[in-house]
Amino acid sequence: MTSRRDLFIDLSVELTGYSRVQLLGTGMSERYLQALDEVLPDGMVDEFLATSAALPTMTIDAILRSETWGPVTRNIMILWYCGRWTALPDSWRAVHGTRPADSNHVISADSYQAGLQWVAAGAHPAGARQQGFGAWTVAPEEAAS
Amino acid sequence: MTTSHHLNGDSMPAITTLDELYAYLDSAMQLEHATIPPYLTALYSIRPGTNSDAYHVLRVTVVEEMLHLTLVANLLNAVGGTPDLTVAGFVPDYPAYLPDGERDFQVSCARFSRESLGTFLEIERPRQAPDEQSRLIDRGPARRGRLGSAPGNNQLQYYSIGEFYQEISRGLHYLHDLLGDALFCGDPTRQVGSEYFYSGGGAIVPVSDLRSAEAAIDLICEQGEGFGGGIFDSEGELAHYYRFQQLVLGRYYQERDSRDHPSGPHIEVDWDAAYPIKQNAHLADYPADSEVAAAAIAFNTSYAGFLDLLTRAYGGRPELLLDAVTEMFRLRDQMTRLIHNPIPGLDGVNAAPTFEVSVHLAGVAS
Repeated sequence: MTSRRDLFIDLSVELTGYSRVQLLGTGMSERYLQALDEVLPDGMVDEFLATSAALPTMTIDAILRSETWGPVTRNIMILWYCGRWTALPDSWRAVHGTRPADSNHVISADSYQAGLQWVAAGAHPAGARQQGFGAWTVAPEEAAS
Repeated sequence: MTTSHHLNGDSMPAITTLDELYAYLDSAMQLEHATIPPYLTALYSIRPGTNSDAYHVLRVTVVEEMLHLTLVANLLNAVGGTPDLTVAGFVPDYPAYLPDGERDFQVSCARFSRESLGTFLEIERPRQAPDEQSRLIDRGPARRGRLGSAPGNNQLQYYSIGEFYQEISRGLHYLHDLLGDALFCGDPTRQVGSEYFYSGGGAIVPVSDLRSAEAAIDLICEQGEGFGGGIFDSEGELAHYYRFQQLVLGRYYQERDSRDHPSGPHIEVDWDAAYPIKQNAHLADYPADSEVAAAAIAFNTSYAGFLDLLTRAYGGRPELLLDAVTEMFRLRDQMTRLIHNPIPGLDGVNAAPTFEVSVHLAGVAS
């Protein structure tokens, strides 16, 4: 049986365009899953993971258009790319309720550094991660490959 | 321990020729380097955001091992030798075997745990042979990964790392008596000085004569084991053994503490907050053609390139050490990516860098 985290990673591979190894390599998968658990009503994360796993790939558009799953899906993308949680829209909260963790916030210092935005931009995490004097003249690993 | 002549100085040292001195110093470089992969593996296995004290202790220690490596390179260069970190077998096939008195013990690349800390304590434990005869111990048939042995005779291993350096010190004195200052015939521009090695856990010592050679060896031994039997080295820094011991005992040492009895602030160590990585991982442990295997090969290629870069830096281009710093951070990112990833097909066991470099070296050596 596929674990929750595996389902979450499978979905995230689809949502981000990055590989399993890259996503797990950030060290943030469990923390992001926890962020979802803290905000969504009980059982809803598992429902979402099951729903997404049941869909054929390339149906992201359908998920994004869903009033229930669209905002959550967009938030997962932002989690991976920016390492931050974005408060869900009022229309979503009106239906599903509000939890204290559902506020705009950066998950952690590590998540900021682990953001895929840096990889995608071919940049080092600004002002955050030690890299050695003059490193700005060297392309980051992922950008170079 | 210190490296002053001790025991019966009349006996013939093991090092009586320059070639023997080179062989011992080559072996010392290998020994200093060999502690780095296990320390780094434990360090980067710590889960992000946890164990900040332990992370700091391990990080500082590994930086000092890099200083030791550079100090030995300075020694070798000073006497006209050529440091080469790219020779086959330079990186041990882990587990490696280090001396600890009457027995040797296994050093693994493993996750941060009580057990790995116990091994690190053994690596750094101060030990002096009880008598002249016990300084070299017959460990039985030669085996791969045995370090601190007599060059040319893998069966004989020194009682401790301290005794191994003691032998180098004796050899330096013997050859200096024989050759005078001509012993230090190396090109001075190959010496790494503080302009290229800084913030590196102690002051680098350029070696040009017997006195500076002794200072380099003393620094290596004291940083590991403490000075003159104390817990601090002569620069007032806590020796590695006692740094690691703090984590096991859960308290920091402070000034005036005696050994084994730290009385400083408490340290919280979360022994469970480390990734469950495969111990002494090898490429063969990863499914061929898997992404994890590719990431492990990419790391090994980078690591081989890094050893090549160090060899060039120690070979007359010390300014390359500045590039090496950037390279180290890249290696860190490649290591953590592996450590964060489960090995496909093995439930609950994560990958780790394998440090199998010899296979890939030919492609990157310049």
